[in-house]
Amino acid sequence: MQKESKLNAENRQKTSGRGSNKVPIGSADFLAPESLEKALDYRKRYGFEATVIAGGTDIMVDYFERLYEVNSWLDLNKIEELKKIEINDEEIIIGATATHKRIAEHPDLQKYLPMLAHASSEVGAWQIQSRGTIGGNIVTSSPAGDTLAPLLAYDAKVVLQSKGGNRILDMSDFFIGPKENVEESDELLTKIIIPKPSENILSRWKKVGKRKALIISSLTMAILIEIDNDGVIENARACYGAVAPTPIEVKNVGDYLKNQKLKEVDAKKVGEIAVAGISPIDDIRGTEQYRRQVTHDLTVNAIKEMAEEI
Amino acid sequence: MNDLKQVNKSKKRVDAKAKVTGKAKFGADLKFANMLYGKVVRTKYPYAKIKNVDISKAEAYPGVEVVMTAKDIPNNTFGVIIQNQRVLAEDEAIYIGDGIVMLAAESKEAAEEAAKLVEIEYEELKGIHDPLESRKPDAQLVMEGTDSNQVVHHPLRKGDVETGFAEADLILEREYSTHYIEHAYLEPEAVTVVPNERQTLVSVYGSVQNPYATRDAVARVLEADLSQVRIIQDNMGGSFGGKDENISSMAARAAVMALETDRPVQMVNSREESIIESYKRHPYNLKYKVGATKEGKLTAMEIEAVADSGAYACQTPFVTWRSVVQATGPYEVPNVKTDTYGFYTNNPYTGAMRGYGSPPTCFAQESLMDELAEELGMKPDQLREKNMYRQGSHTASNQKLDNHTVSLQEVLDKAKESINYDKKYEEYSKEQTGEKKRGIGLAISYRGVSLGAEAIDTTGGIVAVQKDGSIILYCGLAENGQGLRTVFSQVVGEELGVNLDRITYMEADTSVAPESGSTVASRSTFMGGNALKKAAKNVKETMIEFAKEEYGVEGEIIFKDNALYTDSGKKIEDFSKVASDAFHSGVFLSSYGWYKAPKISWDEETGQGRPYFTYVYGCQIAEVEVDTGTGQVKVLNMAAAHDVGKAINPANVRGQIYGGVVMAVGHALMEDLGFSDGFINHTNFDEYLIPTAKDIPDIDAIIVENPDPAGPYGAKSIGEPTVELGGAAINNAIALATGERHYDLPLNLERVLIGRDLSREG
Ligand SMILES: Cc1cc2nc3c(=O)[nH]c(=O)nc-3n(C[C@H](O)[C@H](O)[C@H](O)COP(=O)(O)OP(=O)(O)OC[C@H]3O[C@@H](n4cnc5c(N)ncnc54)[C@H](O)[C@@H]3O)c2cc1C
Repeated sequence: MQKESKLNAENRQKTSGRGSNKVPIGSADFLAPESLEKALDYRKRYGFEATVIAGGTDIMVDYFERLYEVNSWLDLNKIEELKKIEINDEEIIIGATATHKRIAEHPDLQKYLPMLAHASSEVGAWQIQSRGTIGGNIVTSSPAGDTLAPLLAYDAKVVLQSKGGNRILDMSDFFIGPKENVEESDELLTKIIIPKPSENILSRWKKVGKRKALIISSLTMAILIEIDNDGVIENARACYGAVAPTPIEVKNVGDYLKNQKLKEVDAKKVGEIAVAGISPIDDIRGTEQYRRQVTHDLTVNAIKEMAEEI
Repeated sequence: MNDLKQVNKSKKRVDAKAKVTGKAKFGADLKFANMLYGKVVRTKYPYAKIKNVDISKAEAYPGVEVVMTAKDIPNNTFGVIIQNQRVLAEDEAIYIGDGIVMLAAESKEAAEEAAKLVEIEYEELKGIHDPLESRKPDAQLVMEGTDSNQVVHHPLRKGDVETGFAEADLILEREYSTHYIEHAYLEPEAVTVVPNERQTLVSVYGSVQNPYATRDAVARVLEADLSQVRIIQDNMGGSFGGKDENISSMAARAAVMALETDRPVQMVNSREESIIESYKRHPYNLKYKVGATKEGKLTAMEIEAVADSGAYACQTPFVTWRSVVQATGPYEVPNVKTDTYGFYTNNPYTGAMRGYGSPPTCFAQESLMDELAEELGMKPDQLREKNMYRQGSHTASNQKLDNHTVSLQEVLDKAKESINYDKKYEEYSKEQTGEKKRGIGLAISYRGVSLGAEAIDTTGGIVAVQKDGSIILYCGLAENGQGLRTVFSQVVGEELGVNLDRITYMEADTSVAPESGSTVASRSTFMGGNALKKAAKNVKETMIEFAKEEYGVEGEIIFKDNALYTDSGKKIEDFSKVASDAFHSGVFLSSYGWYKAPKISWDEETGQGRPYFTYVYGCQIAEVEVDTGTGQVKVLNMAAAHDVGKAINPANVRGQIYGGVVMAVGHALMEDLGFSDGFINHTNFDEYLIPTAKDIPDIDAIIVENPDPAGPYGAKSIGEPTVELGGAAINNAIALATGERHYDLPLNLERVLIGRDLSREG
């Protein structure tokens, strides 16, 4: 519980820790490069002195009534290369500044990555989806970021690029805490690489929030199950948002499900394993008890529904 | 009456264009030469001794013109009913919104920086944050100079409840609670005070809901004559009852600083400041006991409703009075014992909000009726039909309902038909499989029109026909976004046969229009409509007399289509020509109209009498889908049938119904101040959640018209009844869907899933 009146904007919740202790470097620049190369140059030169902006839907809120604290901006919006969405035989590659709206409406993504397309269509509302980007959602690294559980479930990798070269990381290695990640000051997130899912995939996405739009999730769930022709589970991933310091995969669920016949799975048991793997807290979007109960119920229902689907 | 041209038509809003094109100026848009920007430093704690205030650093900040404390204010208290609200706190802060220091500077930035330099030494004290604690005889006192924390007690006694309960076959006792509601107007409070302007000491411009109440407060604080304080209200970005005392206090502060500096002072709240300082809807704790025979006839009701008044009396005495009148709901109950109370606490103060004292009692009593029906094995609508008011019924205060049409059966039938109630009720009463379960629930109400026995109920208006035939209207009632300018223009247009484009409803200006009471209690169409209709009639008579003489016509003269006609349909002259001719012949074409509401009565000791001169009736039915895995409630459909007497503007009436339903959905399901121990934690709309377009059900707004003999063209009211029914209707629908009843609001995810609100202590 708070101790003092929440009267001033300073008391607002911040969406990222960075930037507030920034030392101005004298000149205030608005950098809007047209090429990735140029952007990486700036990134090296300015580091965290220049605040990266994509859609701005997180960063502008972050700096509400404190915009003067931002010294220089590095705007990614003119870099065409970062907006691309490509699909080949093995992979789906999504540029970091692809907007939620484009992802939600992309026919191939709807086909191959329905959980991601669906999640993108539930981010904020129309306006936010039109501006907000998948890269921004990842770099903000909120445990409640809506696209994050689906990306984990699809086994996505992120590409961090700098003048020095590329790092390709598993999504799960990217997040280290609430709104904290491993990105270095000279790096940009440039794309997300997702192995193209096979045909035999079942999945369930669910967002739970206190209203139907413009709401930070109380909980998200993305479960993906790959089965063979006999209905035996080859591979499964159960991922959750807003139930731990970072979006997480509960690996025990996957381990438990592997090699079982989906139709014979004890759904209740899966729910229990899922709950054992999360570490929710009480906050304004929900209490710990609520999150545990809902994680359980949603997981059980998802497994039952998927079993019925085949 | 049968050939209406302006009234009963969905005329376009007269101020719509200015608003949608951005031309309309709102409080914070106003700019005056040499203007200063004001700012208030508020307490850090809900209850604390103020040990020392050091303003020296703030005063020294560049650009700061004045820094003031309570000591500098001529008269530090004001209030509509009991004058105990302080403009600034002096020795102690008694709720989290109390201001302690005010200052004004050349720029907003300077004012903000200087505010941070004010040093206040506090001694934090343990306050009372629960009215049930505060009512105990040994509780510490919130308000200096009182001997108990009780603000008010309204009793009502009818028959003998002991006898009534003895006759009952079934008795239910239930407790309910409702929560704080923030008005959530789009435009936060804004006021500019200009000193020594327009022959007055101060002119106050801004988002003022009730110009006369604000004038009273400012004059009282400045110790000035009413004639020296001028309040001018033009456009408002919403109010819902919420821009009264908080605006008065803001205006008083700005006025004191404007006079001190002899410069205009503007004050505009941020959203956080607005939510923290402004008053809220009263939270209620309600105890209901009801007795019924096994046939479903009500025999007795005993009710206790305790409202949290917060730190000031504000409108608690009147809000809880509306509760005492409506507490039984629209049912014939031979034996009634009701007590409503308000108690001071160190919580946000509570005041007027759309619905006033009725949404809490409606929620409790209509939830109770559903449960009673279930216990009796009756359908919810059948139990209601068995007991509800009909023509000639006697209310709890023993008022005979015979001077208007009692239309509960009609609103109930129309709402039921619209939403297909019977079929859905049957279907949803069966066992439902799957996670998503549906339910349907209804609520009905009766509601007194206008102020009732709260206060004297009068309104005046001026109709001034100009020499070119255009018309200016003045009235002391304010356009708060509800559409009053349009409705008043329609009434006058109808009387004088003039189209709306020739009529201008002026800003509310307390130095021009007659004092008309507050723009509250869903009274404006009724009261202002009657006053302006009278004024228009007077002008019309003058014009008829003139026309007969001037143009030599005889018989009846008809005013329509911007012209005057003989009764045989022959055009005499254009309205504008008549106006011009009359003016140039020295005829006075303006008139006052004064309307005093019909007689009412109330016995404070027994709660018996005629509290309101007429009533409106409504029924709302909600159809919901509950996700039993998450507790999410989706309101799918809402049928809302309201008897408005006569819809002066049907589109406006529907707008009121849509808005009221949406508000009720928010109140019922999600709105939450995040209140704990005197602190408000949800201070902006990222946390204080109100419904989005996606949360709004399909609403069938059903207008029922049974003209009232006293209303202008038969009109009564619509603003508030629309918001009092949704809570119970949704609660009842959820109960049918899930088989579990709830007694506390809001019905958020956790409450619906787990049965209690885990995020709240206690
Ligand atoms: C009203 C509202 C509703 C919202 N609702 C939701 C919701 O329902 N679900 C949800 O998940 N989120 C929601 N958000 C948050 C936000 O919209 C999303 O997180 C969005 O994806 C952020 O993307 P952006 O492009 O706008 O990010 P920006 O604000 O531009 O950037 C966010 C952060 O990432 C950094 N950054 C951005 N791109 C890169 C890059 N390529 N490389 C390195 N760093 C980068 C920025 O420096 C900044 O720190 C909401 C926000 C608002 C204002």
